[in-house]
Amino acid sequence: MVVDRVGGLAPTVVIRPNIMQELDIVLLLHKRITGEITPAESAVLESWIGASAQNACLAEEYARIWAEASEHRKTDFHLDMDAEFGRLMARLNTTEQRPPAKVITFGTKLLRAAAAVAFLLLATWGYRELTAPAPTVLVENNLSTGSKLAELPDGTRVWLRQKAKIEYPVAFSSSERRVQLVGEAYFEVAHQAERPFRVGLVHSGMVEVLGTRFNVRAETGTDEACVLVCEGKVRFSPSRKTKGTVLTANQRAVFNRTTQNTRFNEVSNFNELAWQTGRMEFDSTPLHQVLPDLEKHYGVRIELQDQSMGNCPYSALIREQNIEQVLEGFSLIYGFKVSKSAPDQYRLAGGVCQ
Amino acid sequence: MTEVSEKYDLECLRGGDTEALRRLFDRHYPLLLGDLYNYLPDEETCKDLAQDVFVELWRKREALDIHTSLRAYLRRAAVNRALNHIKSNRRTVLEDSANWQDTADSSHRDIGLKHEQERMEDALHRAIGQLPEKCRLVFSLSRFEHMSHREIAEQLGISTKTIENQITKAMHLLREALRELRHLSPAVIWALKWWWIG
Repeated sequence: MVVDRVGGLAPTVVIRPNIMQELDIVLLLHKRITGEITPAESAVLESWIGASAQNACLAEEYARIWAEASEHRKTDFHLDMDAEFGRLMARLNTTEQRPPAKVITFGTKLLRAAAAVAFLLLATWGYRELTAPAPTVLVENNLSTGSKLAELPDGTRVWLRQKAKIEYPVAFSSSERRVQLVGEAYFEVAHQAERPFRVGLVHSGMVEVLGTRFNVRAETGTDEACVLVCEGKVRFSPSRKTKGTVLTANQRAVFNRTTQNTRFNEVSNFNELAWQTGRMEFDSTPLHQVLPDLEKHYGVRIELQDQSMGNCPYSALIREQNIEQVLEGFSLIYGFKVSKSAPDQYRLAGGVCQ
Repeated sequence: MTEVSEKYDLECLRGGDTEALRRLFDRHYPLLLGDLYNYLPDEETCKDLAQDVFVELWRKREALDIHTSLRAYLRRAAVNRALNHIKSNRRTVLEDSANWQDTADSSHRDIGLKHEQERMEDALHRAIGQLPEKCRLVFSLSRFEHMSHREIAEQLGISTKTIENQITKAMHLLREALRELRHLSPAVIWALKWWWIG
Protein backbone atom coordinates (compact mmCIF):
# COMPACT_ATOMS: atom_id res chain seq x y z
CA MET A 1 0.00 0.00 0.00
CA VAL A 2 1.31 3.39 -0.89
CA VAL A 3 1.03 6.74 0.69
CA ASP A 4 -1.91 7.74 -1.40
CA ARG A 5 -4.01 5.21 0.37
CA VAL A 6 -4.28 7.37 3.41
CA GLY A 7 -4.47 10.44 1.24
CA GLY A 8 -8.09 9.75 0.55
CA LEU A 9 -9.04 9.71 4.17
CA ALA A 10 -8.53 13.24 5.31
CA PRO A 11 -7.09 15.31 2.52
CA THR A 12 -7.18 18.62 4.31
CA VAL A 13 -5.48 19.57 7.50
CA VAL A 14 -7.88 20.98 10.00
CA ILE A 15 -6.51 23.07 12.77
CA ARG A 16 -8.55 22.11 15.76
CA PRO A 17 -9.03 24.63 18.53
CA ASN A 18 -8.67 22.19 21.37
CA ILE A 19 -5.94 19.62 21.32
CA MET A 20 -6.99 18.12 24.64
CA GLN A 21 -10.39 17.27 23.23
CA GLU A 22 -8.81 15.31 20.43
CA LEU A 23 -6.52 13.49 22.83
CA ASP A 24 -9.50 12.39 24.88
CA ILE A 25 -11.03 10.96 21.74
CA VAL A 26 -7.78 9.20 20.85
CA LEU A 27 -7.83 7.55 24.24
CA LEU A 28 -11.40 6.34 23.75
CA LEU A 29 -10.52 5.05 20.29
CA HIS A 30 -7.64 3.17 21.75
CA LYS A 31 -9.77 1.71 24.50
CA ARG A 32 -12.28 0.56 21.92
CA ILE A 33 -9.58 -1.17 19.91
CA THR A 34 -8.20 -2.99 22.94
CA GLY A 35 -11.64 -3.76 24.35
CA GLU A 36 -11.10 -1.71 27.50
CA ILE A 37 -13.86 0.77 26.78
CA THR A 38 -16.82 1.02 29.16
CA PRO A 39 -20.40 1.21 27.79
CA ALA A 40 -20.66 4.87 28.87
CA GLU A 41 -17.40 5.77 27.13
CA SER A 42 -18.49 3.86 24.09
CA ALA A 43 -21.68 5.91 23.87
CA VAL A 44 -19.67 9.15 24.02
CA LEU A 45 -17.33 7.92 21.32
CA GLU A 46 -20.06 6.73 18.98
CA SER A 47 -21.91 10.01 19.21
CA TRP A 48 -18.68 11.90 18.52
CA ILE A 49 -17.94 9.74 15.47
CA GLY A 50 -21.50 10.19 14.21
CA ALA A 51 -21.32 13.95 14.59
CA SER A 52 -19.37 14.59 11.38
CA ALA A 53 -17.73 12.87 8.46
CA GLN A 54 -14.44 14.39 9.52
CA ASN A 55 -14.69 12.78 12.92
CA ALA A 56 -15.41 9.43 11.30
CA CYS A 57 -12.34 9.85 9.08
CA LEU A 58 -10.15 10.67 12.03
CA ALA A 59 -11.39 7.61 13.89
CA GLU A 60 -10.64 5.46 10.89
CA GLU A 61 -7.21 6.98 10.49
CA TYR A 62 -6.28 6.09 14.05
CA ALA A 63 -7.66 2.58 13.66
CA ARG A 64 -5.46 2.15 10.61
CA ILE A 65 -2.37 3.44 12.37
CA TRP A 66 -2.98 0.86 15.06
CA ALA A 67 -3.60 -1.94 12.59
CA GLU A 68 -0.55 -1.23 10.48
CA ALA A 69 1.92 -0.49 13.23
CA SER A 70 4.72 -3.00 13.11
CA GLU A 71 7.24 -3.65 15.77
CA HIS A 72 10.45 -1.71 15.66
CA ARG A 73 13.02 -4.46 16.01
CA LYS A 74 16.76 -4.40 15.97
CA THR A 75 18.16 -7.44 14.23
CA ASP A 76 21.80 -6.56 13.58
CA PHE A 77 23.27 -7.76 16.83
CA HIS A 78 26.86 -8.86 16.60
CA LEU A 79 26.55 -12.27 18.10
CA ASP A 80 29.07 -14.97 18.67
CA MET A 81 26.58 -17.76 19.26
CA ASP A 82 29.20 -20.16 20.54
CA ALA A 83 30.32 -17.66 23.14
CA GLU A 84 26.75 -16.78 24.06
CA PHE A 85 25.82 -20.41 24.48
CA GLY A 86 29.00 -21.03 26.44
CA ARG A 87 27.99 -18.32 28.83
CA LEU A 88 24.60 -19.94 29.26
CA MET A 89 26.12 -23.35 29.92
CA ALA A 90 28.50 -21.88 32.49
CA ARG A 91 25.55 -20.45 34.34
CA LEU A 92 23.58 -23.68 34.14
CA ASN A 93 26.49 -25.57 35.59
CA THR A 94 26.62 -23.29 38.60
CA THR A 95 22.87 -23.26 39.13
CA GLU A 96 22.31 -26.96 38.72
CA GLN A 97 24.19 -29.74 40.36
CA ARG A 98 21.33 -31.82 41.60
CA PRO A 99 21.02 -35.24 39.92
CA PRO A 100 17.66 -35.95 38.28
CA ALA A 101 15.17 -37.70 40.52
CA LYS A 102 14.60 -41.40 39.91
CA VAL A 103 11.30 -43.13 40.41
CA ILE A 104 11.52 -46.59 41.92
CA THR A 105 8.49 -48.89 42.31
CA PHE A 106 8.20 -51.99 44.39
CA GLY A 107 5.90 -54.95 44.36
CA THR A 108 3.76 -55.64 47.46
CA LYS A 109 5.69 -58.74 48.38
CA LEU A 110 8.80 -56.72 48.70
CA LEU A 111 7.24 -54.28 51.11
CA ARG A 112 9.46 -55.17 54.04
CA ALA A 113 12.58 -55.08 51.98
CA ALA A 114 11.35 -51.89 50.44
CA ALA A 115 10.93 -50.29 53.82
CA ALA A 116 14.50 -51.14 54.69
CA VAL A 117 15.78 -49.90 51.36
CA ALA A 118 13.66 -46.79 51.67
CA PHE A 119 15.20 -46.07 55.03
CA LEU A 120 18.66 -46.48 53.55
CA LEU A 121 17.77 -44.31 50.56
CA LEU A 122 16.32 -41.69 52.81
CA ALA A 123 19.36 -41.72 55.00
CA THR A 124 21.70 -41.40 52.03
CA TRP A 125 19.53 -38.73 50.47
CA GLY A 126 19.47 -36.81 53.73
CA TYR A 127 23.21 -37.09 53.99
CA ARG A 128 23.75 -35.94 50.44
CA GLU A 129 21.26 -33.14 50.86
CA LEU A 130 23.24 -31.92 53.83
CA THR A 131 26.66 -32.24 52.32
CA ALA A 132 26.16 -31.58 48.60
CA PRO A 133 26.51 -27.94 47.62
CA ALA A 134 23.08 -26.43 47.07
CA PRO A 135 22.48 -25.10 43.55
CA THR A 136 23.40 -21.46 43.43
CA VAL A 137 23.03 -18.41 41.24
CA LEU A 138 25.94 -16.14 40.44
CA VAL A 139 25.28 -12.55 39.46
CA GLU A 140 28.14 -10.35 38.36
CA ASN A 141 28.18 -6.71 37.32
CA ASN A 142 30.23 -6.60 34.11
CA LEU A 143 28.78 -3.29 32.99
CA SER A 144 31.30 -0.55 32.35
CA THR A 145 29.13 2.01 34.12
CA GLY A 146 26.27 1.85 36.54
CA SER A 147 25.18 -0.59 39.15
CA LYS A 148 23.38 -3.86 38.61
CA LEU A 149 20.45 -4.98 40.65
CA ALA A 150 20.12 -8.57 41.81
CA GLU A 151 16.86 -9.66 43.37
CA LEU A 152 17.24 -12.60 45.70
CA PRO A 153 14.64 -15.33 46.27
CA ASP A 154 13.54 -13.76 49.57
CA GLY A 155 12.90 -10.34 48.02
CA THR A 156 16.17 -8.82 49.20
CA ARG A 157 17.62 -6.38 46.71
CA VAL A 158 21.33 -6.05 46.11
CA TRP A 159 22.95 -3.37 43.98
CA LEU A 160 26.32 -4.52 42.73
CA ARG A 161 28.96 -1.99 41.94
CA GLN A 162 31.11 -2.54 38.85
CA LYS A 163 33.09 -5.81 38.97
CA ALA A 164 31.24 -6.97 42.07
CA LYS A 165 29.66 -10.41 42.16
CA ILE A 166 27.31 -12.20 44.48
CA GLU A 167 26.49 -15.86 44.78
CA TYR A 168 23.34 -17.09 46.46
CA PRO A 169 21.37 -20.35 46.56
CA VAL A 170 18.41 -20.83 44.25
CA ALA A 171 16.38 -21.28 47.42
CA PHE A 172 17.54 -20.20 50.85
CA SER A 173 17.59 -22.77 53.61
CA SER A 174 15.03 -22.54 56.38
CA SER A 175 17.53 -21.51 59.03
CA GLU A 176 19.52 -18.76 57.35
CA ARG A 177 19.92 -16.73 54.19
CA ARG A 178 23.53 -16.89 53.21
CA VAL A 179 25.20 -15.16 50.27
CA GLN A 180 28.79 -14.74 49.22
CA LEU A 181 30.10 -11.38 48.03
CA VAL A 182 33.18 -10.23 46.16
CA GLY A 183 33.47 -6.50 45.61
CA GLU A 184 31.17 -3.73 46.71
CA ALA A 185 27.41 -3.96 47.07
CA TYR A 186 24.54 -2.13 48.68
CA PHE A 187 21.90 -4.28 50.37
CA GLU A 188 18.26 -3.75 51.15
CA VAL A 189 17.42 -6.85 53.11
CA ALA A 190 13.89 -8.17 53.35
CA HIS A 191 13.12 -8.45 57.04
CA GLN A 192 12.74 -12.01 58.34
CA ALA A 193 13.49 -12.24 62.03
CA GLU A 194 13.56 -16.05 62.05
CA ARG A 195 16.02 -16.33 59.15
CA PRO A 196 19.10 -14.17 59.57
CA PHE A 197 20.70 -12.80 56.42
CA ARG A 198 24.45 -13.41 56.27
CA VAL A 199 26.97 -12.03 53.81
CA GLY A 200 30.18 -14.00 53.53
CA LEU A 201 33.12 -11.84 52.46
CA VAL A 202 36.03 -12.59 50.20
CA HIS A 203 39.04 -13.99 52.15
CA SER A 204 37.03 -14.42 55.32
CA GLY A 205 34.63 -12.68 57.59
CA MET A 206 30.94 -12.18 57.60
CA VAL A 207 28.22 -9.61 58.03
CA GLU A 208 25.08 -10.76 59.75
CA VAL A 209 22.06 -8.64 59.17
CA LEU A 210 19.80 -7.71 61.99
CA GLY A 211 18.19 -4.81 60.15
CA THR A 212 17.80 -3.47 56.69
CA ARG A 213 20.08 -1.30 54.60
CA PHE A 214 23.82 -1.31 54.41
CA ASN A 215 26.83 -1.27 52.11
CA VAL A 216 29.66 -3.79 52.03
CA ARG A 217 33.00 -3.50 50.29
CA ALA A 218 35.27 -6.54 50.27
CA GLU A 219 37.47 -6.57 47.20
CA THR A 220 40.04 -9.13 46.18
CA GLY A 221 42.75 -6.56 45.48
CA THR A 222 42.80 -4.91 48.89
CA ASP A 223 43.40 -5.95 52.45
CA GLU A 224 40.41 -4.05 53.74
CA ALA A 225 36.78 -4.92 54.19
CA CYS A 226 34.41 -2.07 54.86
CA VAL A 227 30.83 -2.09 56.13
CA LEU A 228 28.62 0.99 56.34
CA VAL A 229 25.13 0.84 57.79
CA CYS A 230 22.42 3.21 56.54
CA GLU A 231 19.50 1.88 58.48
CA GLY A 232 18.99 -0.82 61.06
CA LYS A 233 21.69 -3.03 62.58
CA VAL A 234 24.27 -5.50 61.35
CA ARG A 235 26.84 -7.64 63.08
CA PHE A 236 30.25 -7.50 61.44
CA SER A 237 32.58 -10.42 62.11
CA PRO A 238 35.78 -9.78 60.17
CA SER A 239 37.32 -13.18 60.90
CA ARG A 240 36.21 -16.55 62.18
CA LYS A 241 37.89 -16.02 65.52
CA THR A 242 36.12 -12.81 66.42
CA LYS A 243 32.63 -12.70 67.76
CA GLY A 244 31.81 -9.59 65.85
CA THR A 245 30.59 -6.11 66.56
CA VAL A 246 27.13 -4.69 66.14
CA LEU A 247 26.98 -1.62 63.91
CA THR A 248 24.00 0.68 63.75
CA ALA A 249 22.92 3.44 61.38
CA ASN A 250 25.67 5.85 60.27
CA GLN A 251 28.42 3.60 61.64
CA ARG A 252 31.26 2.31 59.56
CA ALA A 253 33.76 -0.41 60.28
CA VAL A 254 36.93 -1.02 58.29
CA PHE A 255 38.80 -4.23 58.91
CA ASN A 256 42.43 -4.58 57.86
CA ARG A 257 43.45 -8.16 57.19
CA THR A 258 47.18 -7.57 57.62
CA THR A 259 47.00 -5.84 60.96
CA GLN A 260 43.83 -7.73 62.02
CA ASN A 261 42.55 -4.42 63.34
CA THR A 262 39.11 -2.94 62.91
CA ARG A 263 38.58 0.83 62.85
CA PHE A 264 35.17 2.22 63.70
CA ASN A 265 33.76 5.62 62.94
CA GLU A 266 30.54 7.53 62.48
CA VAL A 267 29.76 9.01 59.09
CA SER A 268 27.97 12.30 58.67
CA ASN A 269 26.76 11.54 55.17
CA PHE A 270 26.44 8.65 52.75
CA ASN A 271 28.40 10.25 49.96
CA GLU A 272 30.53 7.17 49.51
CA LEU A 273 27.37 5.40 48.36
CA ALA A 274 26.90 7.85 45.50
CA TRP A 275 27.60 4.99 43.07
CA GLN A 276 24.26 3.48 44.16
CA THR A 277 22.21 6.49 45.25
CA GLY A 278 23.45 8.87 42.53
CA ARG A 279 23.58 11.69 45.08
CA MET A 280 26.08 13.42 47.33
CA GLU A 281 25.20 15.80 50.09
CA PHE A 282 27.34 18.43 51.75
CA ASP A 283 26.23 20.61 54.61
CA SER A 284 28.76 23.29 55.46
CA THR A 285 31.46 20.68 54.87
CA PRO A 286 35.01 22.07 54.59
CA LEU A 287 36.39 21.80 51.08
CA HIS A 288 39.29 19.63 52.20
CA GLN A 289 36.69 16.99 53.08
CA VAL A 290 34.54 17.60 50.04
CA LEU A 291 37.30 17.17 47.48
CA PRO A 292 38.30 13.59 48.44
CA ASP A 293 34.64 12.53 48.19
CA LEU A 294 34.40 14.06 44.74
CA GLU A 295 37.72 12.55 43.68
CA LYS A 296 36.60 9.13 44.71
CA HIS A 297 33.17 9.33 43.16
CA TYR A 298 34.23 10.77 39.84
CA GLY A 299 37.60 9.01 39.65
CA VAL A 300 39.53 12.27 39.20
CA ARG A 301 42.25 14.23 40.98
CA ILE A 302 41.49 17.74 42.19
CA GLU A 303 44.32 19.96 43.30
CA LEU A 304 43.66 22.95 45.50
CA GLN A 305 46.35 25.53 44.86
CA ASP A 306 45.63 27.68 47.88
CA GLN A 307 45.51 25.26 50.83
CA SER A 308 43.87 27.85 53.09
CA MET A 309 40.75 27.55 50.92
CA GLY A 310 40.40 24.02 52.27
CA ASN A 311 38.53 25.30 55.31
CA CYS A 312 35.81 27.02 53.29
CA PRO A 313 32.40 25.53 53.99
CA TYR A 314 30.50 23.99 51.09
CA SER A 315 26.81 23.12 51.02
CA ALA A 316 25.20 21.40 48.08
CA LEU A 317 23.18 18.45 46.90
CA ILE A 318 24.81 16.93 43.87
CA ARG A 319 22.63 14.74 41.72
CA GLU A 320 23.46 13.44 38.28
CA GLN A 321 25.97 16.15 37.57
CA ASN A 322 29.32 15.52 35.97
CA ILE A 323 32.51 16.70 37.61
CA GLU A 324 32.90 19.68 35.30
CA GLN A 325 29.46 20.96 36.24
CA VAL A 326 30.30 20.57 39.92
CA LEU A 327 33.60 22.45 39.51
CA GLU A 328 31.84 25.15 37.54
CA GLY A 329 29.60 25.56 40.57
CA PHE A 330 32.76 25.95 42.69
CA SER A 331 34.13 28.69 40.52
CA LEU A 332 30.81 30.53 40.79
CA ILE A 333 30.78 30.31 44.59
CA TYR A 334 34.42 30.89 45.39
CA GLY A 335 35.75 32.50 42.24
CA PHE A 336 38.18 29.65 41.53
CA LYS A 337 39.94 29.50 38.24
CA VAL A 338 39.44 25.91 37.12
CA SER A 339 41.93 24.35 34.76
CA LYS A 340 42.42 20.84 33.48
CA SER A 341 46.05 19.85 33.86
CA ALA A 342 45.62 16.32 32.50
CA PRO A 343 42.70 14.10 31.65
CA ASP A 344 40.90 13.46 34.95
CA GLN A 345 43.04 16.02 36.71
CA TYR A 346 41.80 19.44 37.73
CA ARG A 347 43.39 22.40 39.40
CA LEU A 348 41.56 25.05 41.40
CA ALA A 349 43.51 28.31 41.56
CA GLY A 350 42.81 31.50 43.53
CA GLY A 351 39.43 31.87 45.13
CA VAL A 352 37.93 33.77 48.02
CA CYS A 353 36.23 32.17 50.98
CA GLN A 354 32.70 33.44 51.43
CA MET B 1 11.39 -24.17 11.52
CA THR B 2 8.43 -26.47 11.70
CA GLU B 3 6.32 -26.98 14.74
CA VAL B 4 7.04 -30.69 14.73
CA SER B 5 10.79 -30.38 15.09
CA GLU B 6 10.31 -27.80 17.79
CA LYS B 7 8.07 -30.19 19.71
CA TYR B 8 10.78 -32.79 19.34
CA ASP B 9 13.41 -30.41 20.65
CA LEU B 10 11.22 -29.58 23.61
CA GLU B 11 10.78 -33.27 24.37
CA CYS B 12 14.54 -33.74 24.29
CA LEU B 13 14.95 -30.67 26.45
CA ARG B 14 12.69 -32.18 29.09
CA GLY B 15 15.01 -35.17 29.13
CA GLY B 16 17.98 -32.90 29.80
CA ASP B 17 19.46 -32.89 26.31
CA THR B 18 21.80 -29.93 25.98
CA GLU B 19 22.04 -30.34 22.21
CA ALA B 20 18.33 -29.67 21.98
CA LEU B 21 18.90 -26.67 24.21
CA ARG B 22 21.53 -25.44 21.77
CA ARG B 23 19.14 -25.77 18.82
CA LEU B 24 16.44 -23.84 20.66
CA PHE B 25 19.00 -21.29 21.79
CA ASP B 26 20.26 -20.69 18.25
CA ARG B 27 16.74 -20.20 16.98
CA HIS B 28 15.26 -18.10 19.75
CA TYR B 29 18.09 -16.16 21.40
CA PRO B 30 18.55 -13.64 18.57
CA LEU B 31 14.78 -13.19 18.36
CA LEU B 32 14.59 -12.53 22.08
CA LEU B 33 17.31 -9.90 21.78
CA GLY B 34 15.18 -8.16 19.16
CA ASP B 35 12.13 -8.31 21.44
CA LEU B 36 14.05 -6.98 24.40
CA TYR B 37 15.85 -4.25 22.52
CA ASN B 38 12.52 -2.69 21.68
CA TYR B 39 11.98 -2.08 25.38
CA LEU B 40 15.51 -1.71 26.64
CA PRO B 41 17.83 -0.25 24.05
CA ASP B 42 20.99 -1.55 25.67
CA GLU B 43 22.58 -4.58 24.07
CA GLU B 44 24.39 -5.91 27.14
CA THR B 45 21.32 -5.73 29.36
CA CYS B 46 19.28 -7.44 26.66
CA LYS B 47 21.80 -10.27 26.51
CA ASP B 48 21.74 -10.66 30.28
CA LEU B 49 17.97 -10.86 30.32
CA ALA B 50 17.76 -13.24 27.35
CA GLN B 51 20.28 -15.47 29.12
CA ASP B 52 18.09 -15.38 32.22
CA VAL B 53 15.14 -16.56 30.14
CA PHE B 54 17.10 -19.59 28.98
CA VAL B 55 18.35 -20.38 32.47
CA GLU B 56 14.72 -20.36 33.56
CA LEU B 57 13.68 -22.53 30.61
CA TRP B 58 16.30 -25.08 31.53
CA ARG B 59 15.49 -24.97 35.20
CA LYS B 60 11.79 -25.53 34.55
CA ARG B 61 12.25 -27.95 31.68
CA GLU B 62 10.64 -30.92 33.36
CA ALA B 63 7.54 -29.04 34.43
CA LEU B 64 7.27 -26.99 31.25
CA ASP B 65 3.66 -26.39 30.31
CA ILE B 66 3.43 -24.30 27.18
CA HIS B 67 -0.02 -23.61 25.80
CA THR B 68 1.04 -21.25 23.04
CA SER B 69 4.11 -21.59 20.87
CA LEU B 70 7.54 -21.71 22.44
CA ARG B 71 8.30 -18.46 20.66
CA ALA B 72 5.35 -16.71 22.32
CA TYR B 73 6.22 -18.25 25.67
CA LEU B 74 9.85 -17.14 25.59
CA ARG B 75 8.94 -13.73 24.30
CA ARG B 76 6.51 -13.17 27.12
CA ALA B 77 9.06 -14.33 29.65
CA ALA B 78 11.64 -11.95 28.17
CA VAL B 79 9.29 -8.99 28.10
CA ASN B 80 8.31 -9.63 31.71
CA ARG B 81 11.95 -9.59 32.67
CA ALA B 82 12.48 -6.37 30.74
CA LEU B 83 9.59 -4.78 32.58
CA ASN B 84 10.90 -5.89 35.96
CA HIS B 85 14.25 -4.47 35.02
CA ILE B 86 12.73 -1.16 33.97
CA LYS B 87 10.66 -1.04 37.11
CA SER B 88 13.62 -1.60 39.38
CA ASN B 89 15.85 0.84 37.50
CA ARG B 90 13.08 3.35 37.23
CA ARG B 91 15.39 6.34 37.24
CA THR B 92 16.55 5.49 33.75
CA VAL B 93 13.44 5.46 31.64
CA LEU B 94 10.30 6.23 33.47
CA GLU B 95 11.20 9.42 35.16
CA ASP B 96 12.66 11.09 32.14
CA SER B 97 10.04 13.73 31.77
CA ALA B 98 6.97 14.73 33.65
CA ASN B 99 5.50 16.86 30.94
CA TRP B 100 4.93 14.98 27.76
CA GLN B 101 4.96 17.98 25.55
CA ASP B 102 8.58 18.53 26.50
CA THR B 103 9.63 15.32 24.86
CA ALA B 104 7.73 15.98 21.70
CA ASP B 105 10.78 17.43 20.03
CA SER B 106 11.00 17.91 16.34
CA SER B 107 13.08 14.81 15.71
CA HIS B 108 10.14 12.75 14.59
CA ARG B 109 9.04 15.35 12.14
CA ASP B 110 11.80 15.07 9.60
CA ILE B 111 10.39 11.72 8.61
CA GLY B 112 8.27 11.81 5.52
CA LEU B 113 9.30 14.95 3.73
CA LYS B 114 12.42 13.40 2.30
CA HIS B 115 10.70 10.17 1.42
CA GLU B 116 7.43 11.14 -0.07
CA GLN B 117 7.05 7.98 -2.05
CA GLU B 118 7.79 5.78 0.89
CA ARG B 119 5.30 3.17 1.89
CA MET B 120 3.09 4.10 4.78
CA GLU B 121 4.03 0.99 6.70
CA ASP B 122 7.69 1.83 6.53
CA ALA B 123 7.06 5.38 7.61
CA LEU B 124 4.93 4.21 10.47
CA HIS B 125 7.58 1.74 11.45
CA ARG B 126 10.21 4.43 11.48
CA ALA B 127 7.94 6.80 13.33
CA ILE B 128 7.50 4.21 16.09
CA GLY B 129 11.24 3.91 16.32
CA GLN B 130 11.49 7.65 16.80
CA LEU B 131 8.88 8.00 19.50
CA PRO B 132 10.24 9.25 22.82
CA GLU B 133 11.49 6.26 24.79
CA LYS B 134 8.82 6.09 27.48
CA CYS B 135 6.12 6.64 24.92
CA ARG B 136 7.37 3.85 22.66
CA LEU B 137 7.68 1.51 25.60
CA VAL B 138 4.08 1.95 26.63
CA PHE B 139 2.75 1.93 23.08
CA SER B 140 4.65 -1.27 22.26
CA LEU B 141 3.38 -3.04 25.35
CA SER B 142 -0.15 -2.24 24.40
CA ARG B 143 0.16 -2.91 20.68
CA PHE B 144 2.56 -5.83 20.49
CA GLU B 145 2.24 -7.50 23.88
CA HIS B 146 -1.52 -6.94 23.97
CA MET B 147 -1.35 -5.79 27.54
CA SER B 148 -4.20 -3.76 29.00
CA HIS B 149 -3.63 -0.28 30.39
CA ARG B 150 -3.94 -1.61 33.88
CA GLU B 151 -1.52 -4.48 33.29
CA ILE B 152 1.08 -2.08 31.94
CA ALA B 153 0.57 0.24 34.88
CA GLU B 154 0.99 -2.62 37.33
CA GLN B 155 4.04 -4.03 35.59
CA LEU B 156 5.80 -0.68 35.51
CA GLY B 157 4.54 0.50 38.87
CA ILE B 158 3.11 3.73 37.52
CA SER B 159 -0.43 5.05 37.34
CA THR B 160 -2.97 4.02 34.74
CA LYS B 161 -3.46 7.71 33.97
CA THR B 162 0.20 8.02 32.96
CA ILE B 163 -0.14 4.98 30.75
CA GLU B 164 -3.18 6.42 29.05
CA ASN B 165 -1.42 9.73 28.49
CA GLN B 166 1.56 7.98 26.95
CA ILE B 167 -0.53 5.85 24.62
CA THR B 168 -2.58 8.82 23.52
CA LYS B 169 0.58 10.76 22.94
CA ALA B 170 2.08 7.93 20.91
CA MET B 171 -0.98 7.61 18.70
CA HIS B 172 -1.05 11.33 18.19
CA LEU B 173 2.64 11.59 17.33
CA LEU B 174 2.35 8.70 14.88
CA ARG B 175 -0.52 10.36 13.11
CA GLU B 176 1.43 13.60 12.97
CA ALA B 177 4.37 11.79 11.44
CA LEU B 178 2.14 10.24 8.78
CA ARG B 179 0.36 13.43 7.97
CA GLU B 180 3.62 15.08 7.17
CA LEU B 181 4.46 12.20 4.93
CA ARG B 182 1.81 13.41 2.56
CA HIS B 183 2.15 16.33 0.23
CA LEU B 184 2.12 19.14 2.71
CA SER B 185 2.86 22.67 1.70
CA PRO B 186 5.31 24.58 3.90
CA ALA B 187 2.44 26.75 5.06
CA VAL B 188 0.59 23.75 6.39
CA ILE B 189 3.67 22.45 8.14
CA TRP B 190 4.13 25.81 9.71
CA ALA B 191 0.50 25.78 10.81
CA LEU B 192 0.91 22.31 12.28
CA LYS B 193 3.96 23.30 14.24
CA TRP B 194 2.20 26.37 15.44
CA TRP B 195 -0.73 24.24 16.50
CA TRP B 196 1.50 21.78 18.23
CA ILE B 197 3.34 24.35 20.24
CA GLY B 198 0.22 26.40 20.89
